[in-house]
Amino acid sequence: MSRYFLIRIGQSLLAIWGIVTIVFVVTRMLGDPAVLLLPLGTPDSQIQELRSSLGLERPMVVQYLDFLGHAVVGDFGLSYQSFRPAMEVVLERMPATAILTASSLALGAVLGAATGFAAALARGRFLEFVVMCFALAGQATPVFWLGILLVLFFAVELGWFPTGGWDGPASLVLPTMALGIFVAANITRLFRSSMIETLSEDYIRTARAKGLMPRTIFMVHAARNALIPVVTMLALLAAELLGGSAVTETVFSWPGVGRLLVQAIDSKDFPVIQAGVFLIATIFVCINFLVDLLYTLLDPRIRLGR
Amino acid sequence: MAEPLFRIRNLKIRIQNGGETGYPVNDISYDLCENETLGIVGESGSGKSMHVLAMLGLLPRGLAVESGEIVFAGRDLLKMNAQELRNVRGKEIGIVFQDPMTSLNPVLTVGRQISEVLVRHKRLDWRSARARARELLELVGIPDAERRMRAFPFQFSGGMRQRVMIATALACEPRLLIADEATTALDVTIQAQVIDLIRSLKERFGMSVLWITHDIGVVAGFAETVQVMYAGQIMERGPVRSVFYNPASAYTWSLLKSLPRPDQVAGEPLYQIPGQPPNPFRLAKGDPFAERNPFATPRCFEERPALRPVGDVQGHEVAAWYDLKTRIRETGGAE
Repeated sequence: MSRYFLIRIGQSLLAIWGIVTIVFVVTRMLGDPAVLLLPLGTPDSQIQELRSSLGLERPMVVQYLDFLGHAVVGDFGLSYQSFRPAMEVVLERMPATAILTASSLALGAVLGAATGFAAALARGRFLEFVVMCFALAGQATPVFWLGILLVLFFAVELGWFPTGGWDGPASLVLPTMALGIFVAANITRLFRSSMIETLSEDYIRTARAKGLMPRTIFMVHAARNALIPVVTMLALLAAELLGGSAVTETVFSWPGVGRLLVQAIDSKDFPVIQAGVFLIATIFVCINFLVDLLYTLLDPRIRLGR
Repeated sequence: MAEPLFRIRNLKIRIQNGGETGYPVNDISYDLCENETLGIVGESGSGKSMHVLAMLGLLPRGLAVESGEIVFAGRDLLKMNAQELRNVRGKEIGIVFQDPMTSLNPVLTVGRQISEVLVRHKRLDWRSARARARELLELVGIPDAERRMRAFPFQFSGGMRQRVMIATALACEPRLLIADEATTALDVTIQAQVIDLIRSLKERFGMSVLWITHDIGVVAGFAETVQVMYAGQIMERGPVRSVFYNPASAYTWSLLKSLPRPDQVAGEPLYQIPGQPPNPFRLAKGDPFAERNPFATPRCFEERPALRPVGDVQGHEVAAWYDLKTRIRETGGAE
C-alpha cells in the first residue's frame, strides 16, 4: 500500500514538472514581452535594456534552469505588469475561483444526483426521456454561451442579478447556474447509467428475493455501489473548475484565476502564466490523488485490500 | 400423503424477443409437500430456474407468466400484488442463488445483509437483529461469528459466502427453501459440506426444500423426489430410487448414462446426448426430446405426451409414448 502511494507521488511530481516545462517553452514562443511593455516607438536600445534586465537575453537553457531552480521554492519571479511576486498575484485570485467552484459543484451534485436517480427509476418511461434530453442538451451547450444567455435574461432583461464582477453574493448566482448546469448534466448521465448497471447485478436480485422494500433496494443496495464512479467524476470536475474555467470567468468578469491567466497571456506576463499553470497543475494532481484515497474509503474491497 | 405446501398448475411462461415468442416454461404442473425435498434436474434452458423466479415475481425483463397458477399455502402467488409478494419473499420462501461471488452486495457487511431481513420481516430493531444474525452465522458453521459479522463478502471464501447466503435465506425460518444451483459454483468437497449443511438445517427447521441443479448426482443422495425437466416440460418425476434405478424417460436414461462411473474403463468416452439443446422459440409439436432420442417412435414426433404412471410405484410418472425397456431391447441400446 505505502509503496503504491510512493509511486503515485513520484508520478505526480513528474507530471507537474512536465507541465511546467511545456508552459515554459510555449510562453517563450508567444513573442517578446519587452516590446509589449514599452510604448510604441521606444528606441531599440531601451527595449534591449529592458530585455536584459528581465533576463530574456540569456540562452534558453540558462533561463530554464534559473526558472526551475526558483520554481522549486515557489518563486516564479515578479509580474511584468504589477512588479509583485507572480505567485502572490495568482494566489489572491484563488478565493474567488474556489467559491465559484464550491457553489457550482454543490448545485451540480445535488441537481445531477436527483435527476440521475429519477431517470434510472423511470427507466423506459416518458420522464426518463425528458430528463435525458435535458441532460444531453446541458452537456452539449457551451458554458460560455449559456452564461451569455443567463446574463441577457436575468441581468439585462430582468435586472435580478449583476451582469458580472464580484459585488456581494448576488453576483455568484449566474456563474454558479452556468457551471452548475454543466456539472449536473454530466452527473445525471453518469449516475443514471451507473444505477441501471447496478440494478441488473445479482445482488440486487438477492435483495429483492429477500423481500426488501424498493426504497431500501434503491437507496442502500444500489445507490451505494452506483455512487462510486460519480464521486470520481465530481472530484475530477472539481479539479477542472478549481483550475479556473477561463471562459466562464471571462464572460462574467469573475475575478478568478482563469480570467487572470487569460489576461496574463494577452500581456505576455510570463511569470504569472507560469505561476498560474503551476498552481493549476498541482491542484489537479492533488485532487486526483485524493480521488484514489476516496475510492478506498467508499469501496471496502480496495480499503481492506484483496 | 402429506398436505401440499404449494401446487403449480399449468404454468406457462412466455418470452418475447423481437417478433418471436417462446415458452421457456411450457405447461407444467406439480405439487410439493410439507417437509418434502424435491430435486429438479435439467440442463440450461429446461425452465427449472425460470419457474422458480416466476413464483417469486422475479422474472427478468422480457419474460412473463402467460397462464397457470402457483398456490402457496393456500394463496395464489401470481394473483398477489407487489407488496403481498414482498411479504412472502424472504419470510416464507427463502432462496439461495448459484453464484455466491456476485449474489452478495460487495459494499455492505455480511452482518447487515443478514440482519436487514429480520428487521424487514420480523420487525426487530437492529440490535436484536444483529444478535440473531450472529446466531445464524454460527448455525451455518462460520467460525468467529462475532468478528465475521463486520466483514465484507470479498473477505470470505466461496463456500463461506454460500453459508452466508443460506443464513440469510433461513433468517425468518421459511416454510420453503429454494436452492437454485446453490452448489454449482463450488468445489466438490465444499459442495458436499453445503449439501450436508442444508440437509441438517432442513431437519432442524422442518421445512420443504426445492433443490434445482443440472447435476443429477447431487440429487441422488439428498432428495426424496426427483423431477426431470426438459424444454420447459416435466419429462419424468417420482421417488429418487425408482427414477434412478428404473428410468422410464429416454432423457433421464441419457442423463444417467452420461454420468462418469467408478467402474468405467479409463479413456472410455462418456456417453454424449446427440443433437442440440432445445430452443424455446422452436418448440417441437410432439415430445420435445424426440429428435435427440435414439428410441423415439413415430408418434413421439407428432403428439405431446402427458404424464402417466410408471409401473406400480406410487408417484412415479413419465411423459413418453414409448416403453423405454421395450425400446432398448428392440433397438439394442444407444449408438
